[in-house]
Amino acid sequence: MNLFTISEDPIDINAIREASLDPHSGGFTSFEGWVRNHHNKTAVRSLEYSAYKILAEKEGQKIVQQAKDKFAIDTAYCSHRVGHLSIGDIAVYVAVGSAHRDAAFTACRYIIDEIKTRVPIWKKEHYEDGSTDWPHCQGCSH
Amino acid sequence: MLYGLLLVGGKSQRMGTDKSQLIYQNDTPEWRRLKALLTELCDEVYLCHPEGQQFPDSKAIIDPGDGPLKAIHAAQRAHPEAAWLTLACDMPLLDLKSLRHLVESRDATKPGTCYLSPIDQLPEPLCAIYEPASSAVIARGIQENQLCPRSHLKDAHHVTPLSPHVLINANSPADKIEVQAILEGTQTEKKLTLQYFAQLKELTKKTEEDLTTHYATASGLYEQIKAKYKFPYKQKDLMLAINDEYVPWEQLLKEGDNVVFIPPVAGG
Repeated sequence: MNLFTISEDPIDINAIREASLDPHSGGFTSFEGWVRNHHNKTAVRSLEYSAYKILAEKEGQKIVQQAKDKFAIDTAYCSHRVGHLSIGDIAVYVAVGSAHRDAAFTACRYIIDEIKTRVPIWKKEHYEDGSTDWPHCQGCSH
Repeated sequence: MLYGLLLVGGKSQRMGTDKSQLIYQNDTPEWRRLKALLTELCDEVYLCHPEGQQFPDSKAIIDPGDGPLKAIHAAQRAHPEAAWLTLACDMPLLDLKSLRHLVESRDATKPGTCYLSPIDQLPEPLCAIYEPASSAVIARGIQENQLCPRSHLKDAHHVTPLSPHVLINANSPADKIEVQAILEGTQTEKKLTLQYFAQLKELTKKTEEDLTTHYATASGLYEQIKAKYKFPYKQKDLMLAINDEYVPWEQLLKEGDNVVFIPPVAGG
């Protein structure tokens, strides 16, 4: 399984969990990013994700590989959805397995934080009042 | 009476070095080169910089800080009788011929005389003559915290530059490469493909386009494309990808490159 994928279909979180199973691992953490119904105080109807797929997959794989090099973990995968998503849909899924829990929590956090700042993925928010906007990561380094 | 004012006090975060000290031509730092141009055309020349800085053999107007409009007004208050030919120190392609063209086009009955940028057709406030009559309006602007000098040049006499490159600002190491390519005549025509994503795709109404450019780096190209499609982003807000890899803005463009300006990302 690829370490990072951009997915046009709903993310198969069970398949990723299955791929993470490892006799060396004593713990597994996952993070699901969900589409929520508000941004600041504005009511959100849906989110439209798009990506520069080739570069996003390259950069995403780099991030997951960096997590594997940096932390004492056994497995790490991430998948990010693109397309028009509804409230409650899973936009991003991160899965990490490790011998001990600390490394799994830390690596999971590292992966989602880096994805948000470096991977060329964008979202267009569609609000309940019919307007739209392109919010972006406020903590980006650039 | 025409006095020259060279603004040398600006901070330069993106260039990482003081722009007035950069050298492009004849081993001469830009402040000396531009001061010499002003000296040719003006009765007196002043350098405007923060208190405490030293520029040899130069008369100073102390820059009160908080932007160029306040600097210009400090000069106007020091010599209310003079018109001020005001220059920023980050225009490495500005030459005597172009500056003389501006001075010879001067209309002293207007609040000022300035060039229009060939890129976005807006007045260039930091290569402009401010007449004494503009002082009262500028004072009011400062009081009302309207500190954009461009807004005071709407009624000025507008002049078209002799060459499209004259007003190029060099704000980053990539811009510096661009300017050196022009000065050394090493610019070449290249065919490129631009791909657009997210807001940039909406604004251009295109996913990609082919174009021919003479720019040496994507930095110069971005300014042109940004003006054409009215992109809301400054270069420093963007990342750059060439041939599906993130690259620094200083990377030289070559024939056949696939160039993507990456607007602020929003995954997760």
